[in-house]
Amino acid sequence: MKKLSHQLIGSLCLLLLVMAQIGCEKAEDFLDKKSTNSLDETTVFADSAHTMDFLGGVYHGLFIWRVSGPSNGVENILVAVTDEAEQRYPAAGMLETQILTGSFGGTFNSYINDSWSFLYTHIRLANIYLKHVDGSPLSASLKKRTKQETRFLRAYFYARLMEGWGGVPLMGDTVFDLNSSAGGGRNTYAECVDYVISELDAVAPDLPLTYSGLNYGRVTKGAALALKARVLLFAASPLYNGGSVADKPELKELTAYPTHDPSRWQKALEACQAVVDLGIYELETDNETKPGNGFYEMFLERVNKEYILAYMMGPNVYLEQFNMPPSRGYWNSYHRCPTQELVDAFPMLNGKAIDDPTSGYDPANPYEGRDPRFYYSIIYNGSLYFNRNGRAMKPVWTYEGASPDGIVPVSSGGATHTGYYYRKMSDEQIPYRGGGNTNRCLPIMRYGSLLLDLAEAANETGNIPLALDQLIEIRKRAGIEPGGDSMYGLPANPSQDETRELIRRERFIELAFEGYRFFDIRRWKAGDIIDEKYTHGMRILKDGNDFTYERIEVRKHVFKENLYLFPIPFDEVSINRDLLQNPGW
Amino acid sequence: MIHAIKLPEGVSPESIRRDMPVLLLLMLLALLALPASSQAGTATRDSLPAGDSLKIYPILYQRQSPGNLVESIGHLKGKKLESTAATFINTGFSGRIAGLFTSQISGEPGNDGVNLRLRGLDPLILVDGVPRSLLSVNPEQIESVTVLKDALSTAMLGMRSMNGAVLITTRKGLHKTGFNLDVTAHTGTSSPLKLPEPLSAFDYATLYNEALGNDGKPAIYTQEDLNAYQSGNDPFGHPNVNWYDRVLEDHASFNRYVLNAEGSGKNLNYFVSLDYLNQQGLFSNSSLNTYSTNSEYQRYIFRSNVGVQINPTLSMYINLFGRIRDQNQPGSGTESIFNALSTTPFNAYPALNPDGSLGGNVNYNNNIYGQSVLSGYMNEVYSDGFVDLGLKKDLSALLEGWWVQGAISYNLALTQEIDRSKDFETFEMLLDPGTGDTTYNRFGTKSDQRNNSSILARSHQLYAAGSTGFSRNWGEHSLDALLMYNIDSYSIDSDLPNRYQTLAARLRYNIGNKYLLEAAASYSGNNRYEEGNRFGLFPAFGAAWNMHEEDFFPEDSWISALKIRASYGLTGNAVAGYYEYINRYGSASGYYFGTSVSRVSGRALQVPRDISTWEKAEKLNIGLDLSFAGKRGFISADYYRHTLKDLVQARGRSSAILGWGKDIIQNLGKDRYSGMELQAGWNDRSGDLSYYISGNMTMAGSEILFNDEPDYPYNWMYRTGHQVGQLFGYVADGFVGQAGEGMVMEGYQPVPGDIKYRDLNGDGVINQFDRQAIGTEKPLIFYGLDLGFSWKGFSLSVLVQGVANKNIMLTGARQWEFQNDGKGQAYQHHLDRWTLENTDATYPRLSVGTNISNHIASSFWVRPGDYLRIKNAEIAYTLQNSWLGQVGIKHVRLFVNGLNLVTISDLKRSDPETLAGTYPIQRIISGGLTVKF
Repeated sequence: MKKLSHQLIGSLCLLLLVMAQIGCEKAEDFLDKKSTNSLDETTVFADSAHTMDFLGGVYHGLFIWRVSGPSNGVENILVAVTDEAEQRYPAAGMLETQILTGSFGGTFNSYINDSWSFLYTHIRLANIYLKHVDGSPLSASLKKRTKQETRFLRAYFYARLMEGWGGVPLMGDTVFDLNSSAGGGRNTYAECVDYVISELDAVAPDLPLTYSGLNYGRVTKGAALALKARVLLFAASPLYNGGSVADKPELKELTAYPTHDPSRWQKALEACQAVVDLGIYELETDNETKPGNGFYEMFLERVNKEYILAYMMGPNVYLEQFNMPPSRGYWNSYHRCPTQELVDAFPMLNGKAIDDPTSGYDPANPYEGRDPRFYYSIIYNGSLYFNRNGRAMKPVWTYEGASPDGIVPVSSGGATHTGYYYRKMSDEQIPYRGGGNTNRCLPIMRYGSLLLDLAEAANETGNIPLALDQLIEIRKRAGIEPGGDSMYGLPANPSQDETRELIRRERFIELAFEGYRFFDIRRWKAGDIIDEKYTHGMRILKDGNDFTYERIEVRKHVFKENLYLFPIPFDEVSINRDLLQNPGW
Repeated sequence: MIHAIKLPEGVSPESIRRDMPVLLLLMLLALLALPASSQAGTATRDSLPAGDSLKIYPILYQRQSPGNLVESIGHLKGKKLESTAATFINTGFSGRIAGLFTSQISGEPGNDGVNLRLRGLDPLILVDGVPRSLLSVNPEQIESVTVLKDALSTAMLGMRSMNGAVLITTRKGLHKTGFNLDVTAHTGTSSPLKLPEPLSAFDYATLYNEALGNDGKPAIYTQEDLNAYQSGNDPFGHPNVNWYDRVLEDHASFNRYVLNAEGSGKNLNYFVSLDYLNQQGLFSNSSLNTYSTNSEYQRYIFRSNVGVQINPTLSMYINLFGRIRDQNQPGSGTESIFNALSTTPFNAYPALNPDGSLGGNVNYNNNIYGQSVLSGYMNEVYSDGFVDLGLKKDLSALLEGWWVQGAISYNLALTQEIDRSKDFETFEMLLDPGTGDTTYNRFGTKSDQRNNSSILARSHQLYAAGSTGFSRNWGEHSLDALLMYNIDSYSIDSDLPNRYQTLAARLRYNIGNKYLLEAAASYSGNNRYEEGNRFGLFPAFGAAWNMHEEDFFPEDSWISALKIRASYGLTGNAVAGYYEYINRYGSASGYYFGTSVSRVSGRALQVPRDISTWEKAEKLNIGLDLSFAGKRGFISADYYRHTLKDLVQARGRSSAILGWGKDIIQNLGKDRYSGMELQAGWNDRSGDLSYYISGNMTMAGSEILFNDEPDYPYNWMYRTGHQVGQLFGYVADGFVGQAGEGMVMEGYQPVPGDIKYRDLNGDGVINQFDRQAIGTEKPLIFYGLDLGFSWKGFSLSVLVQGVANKNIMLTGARQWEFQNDGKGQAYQHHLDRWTLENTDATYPRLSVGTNISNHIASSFWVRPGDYLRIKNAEIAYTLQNSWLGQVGIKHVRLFVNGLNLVTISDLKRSDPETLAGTYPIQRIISGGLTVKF
């Protein structure tokens, strides 16, 4: 018996040991999680601040076409594909180099694919918000308003998808779960237009006209109406209005309206007019301080009367970091260099084109007496710009041999290839280095662009005087002299075709570097503006205090017909065979 | 096929989980209530193996004699590791164990361990039965290494059974009463196996000009520059600095001192080991410093394993371990300097300017010499230690052969960093050719030496196990049963602990040593899975037949033993991450609302995951063991087929239009690993001469069974069906000829001398549709041959080890010219580049920066990674005489050994194991003596 009790005690000791190892916890709790610091879908929408944060993430989708890519922003890339600017990097792997040499094949570079994914990701975020916001603790009025904001954003993402790819799959309100598979094909272009317009029509009436304080920058009624105008302008434009480059009939209706209908211009015109009729937007004008100062200051103001929708940013030197000349930026800067084509498109201060013999243009002094917008958009040889060395306004020299900003061949990549640097939307007191930050936000739709849209729609519907009125408005603000006829340098009685050219040229300069040119050329079906054409630069030689000017060819650009629409990512069409690829890819 | 095991009705996983300790308790009490047997049992000493013969191999939680093994294991005596002079004991595994593939990617002191792949997977390391990776220890403390390969040998590991395991068993003392003390002093020297061969400044500049020309750009070096580089008469303006020579020594020292004491008494056995190791790196020190900036590794180890027989039925063990590892490196970091070495041309800047300042310029402002000796130093100190404690009670008095045991292990580790680095400035000397005046441009900012201490990681682990077993013979039959419950809780930094909870059992049944049956199973859970979905059941079965024990087997056969064995089971692998079943929302890109800026952070799903279960493998193993000629020779062969499923991987067929933005991570993948392992050996003695030869060879293949790929238009694009990790790329087909003969590359305009690719689909354009599997697709082969002899006091051992059918891809800044936007280095192998005069070249035309057509994955860059090494050799002489005996010395052993002595490989430009420009693998020649008292 004694032996047994020994055994018993020994065994129990062992057992106690085992239990002690488990510690104070009960065995069934051993694997239980003790706390969590992580948010999931439920906890986010159970908290009003997290819910509003989530919506902030949907707003971030407005950054599309500007998201960082292989060379810091697709706007840089697409700009350099057109005749607006040259891209600094000559490397063959760059998307713009591939596009402008015609070797882009759709599968090699992921950038376009990333944009597709970026937009659909934000459409999903919008749908998640719409699904859960009713269960959140937000007030009823805030729920209503933020749902309208979200539906606008979703419509905006579709509008950008349509600009890129034509008709795309519409996902509705469904939030797909992890095991969903993608089925179904693309919706037709017409269905996409109808969907986006119906969404905008639904949210526009109740959206606020303006916001104040912390809410400034949210979606307004004006934004909804302006986006509607933009979508209808695209729908009326040659590429989409019965002008698809597709051969197959099923692809035709996916990429455009199958037939041409001139009345689409009338719808676009009415939509533009609706924004004007709100009466709350105006062109920021200040020709008293100095000519065109309103055009300059407008881009630097976080709060202004001209922006209808902007990508709101914190204090930044976002544009400066890519575009400032070496002397004003850091050593690896200057991504895009404006072309001579753009420089030549700016008229003289009297509004007359430089090839007009009465304009007063002097080829030996090409930067004298030009449209004030020129000076706020482009750094040319001798432009004054703040330099941190000496902390003063100093000239930027782009003549050949000037160090470090002088013109160099395309093969070098060491400085500008065209003799120009970009400065639009930048504060001349704030270079990339040594000048603090700007308050600039990036315009997505502004009253100036809307008036040009209106002008285009008016001209296409035959209302030439209405079109010219808009150009005069734009030029008046730009600081161009009215001239004796108060036509601001415009011809008196231009034909419809002439007016079209005037409008296109005005868009080119007024909206330079704002992300329009590439998409405008596509919707006008005007690839021949670029295709097989050289961009030009200005080779300037310094001789004592004198300069001589010589226009030089920089690079030949190619615009293949398939570039009118982007390729749908290869993996997408592999996974989903119903998703028809765009023509030529 | 084992897909799911149904539990008996009424028994839910939750109930088992809840009731596990209670069940154990009831079971114990019930057994205790049995009447005590009148016979006193003989204590089995599984937990105190000091008394066991080394012929009995450790298996998981138990031991087994090799003749009765049903499981598939590999076994290596600890003694074999002692001839390898390295900081990690696994460096000594190479070539010694069938099925275990090793690869070494760095020779940095303290980081020179090898990566282990057991039958294609990353095995779990256990030391004395506790999951912990304790590989930087002195080899003297290792009794043996057992590699657990099949399902039967690992099934009791439950959630961690899939990848196989390496079981390290430490020495517990002498087998017989006595006392030994030995002291070893070991010293040696290490030197790099192979350093890159960069170009001289002249060659570099010449090729750079040529490359610029190829890219259509003007040359940047004038003829005067080239002349100056060639003559070397302008060392400041036209430097030609061999950076390897400048900052590296040819040799570095290796020193180790070990003291081991072991003994065994009536009720006590013990093993105590003290070890000090010091391995120096290759960097030159500078007399400017009062401290060392070399890469240096010092290690202090203390181990004490003690077993006590408290009374005839109660025994206890306590193992203590403490270790400090002190790793020094230059303030800039060892890896960063080796990267700079492989990416900085000889003409980049002079090491020192005429005024003694560090050279540099706008493109190269991080002077390598400065990095190596003028950047201070960084010190990382890893301290860890543990206590293992166990009690075992023999209950044979109650039931013959019954015992219970409890064990606990507490492990602590701390990593501290002491930052005594500093920044330096570099200067570019500018010479005014007119006046001869020099001015200096400064780059970088000088800083004071920092003196910061921070804790990089802090972890602790609690492991506890309670087990009971029963072992008994009835005539020819013997039964051995083991039931174990264990928990393992590992915490690091602020993470919630990662916990495993396992109930496991093993049953071994033996009929006359002829028929051996074994089953093992575990019911195991991991807390990182969602509640209700945390536990899995992992069963395995095996059987073996010792044919030589049969009556029909001829007594006088040349074959002394013949066994066939087979096992099959289901194993698992928890890969739940950090509670990754929760689809977590985190901060995302936000927005800046407000008339004045007011930031709103976004909230979005971080990574969409649907990880609901653990990875699983069904494992089949069939083996044959044969010994012959009076057991002097043996052959052993294994065939295995491991079918893995529910592997965590990104979904390939997830369309972006669903809006996930990223790949969805799910339990999707299916792979199969299969292969053959062969071992054979012979040992004999004749007179004073005894010798052995033993070899092993493994053929390890794999196949992707399911990879969730999109519907590709061409079959060659699929990875499914190929080996796991198969290289993919374009197929090189010579060079684009002088006439620029038609290759159209998407996104690129080829020029003569570019690599020409095969247009697989014949559409006239080279693009992603033209990529296929490249390199060999044969199963990997690796092998080792260990041979040696001893004669009187002399002994010799040699280990040859090799690999075949391995692909390597020569990519990156150490293989390609002028990388990093043209700032990179170029090498000797670039001299034979394509030019108009040299179209029969081994390297394409040169370009500056990354060439998007040439510098991409293609068969051009694939080489066989095959090699054969004399990995390890040792010559020793043992002196043993009466004179020594009189002064109390049992023997003195003198030895010389070498690691990585000779390598044979087709790859001339670098070592086949280290390609990436990291710290080169070392050849270590060392010698020493052991005095045994």
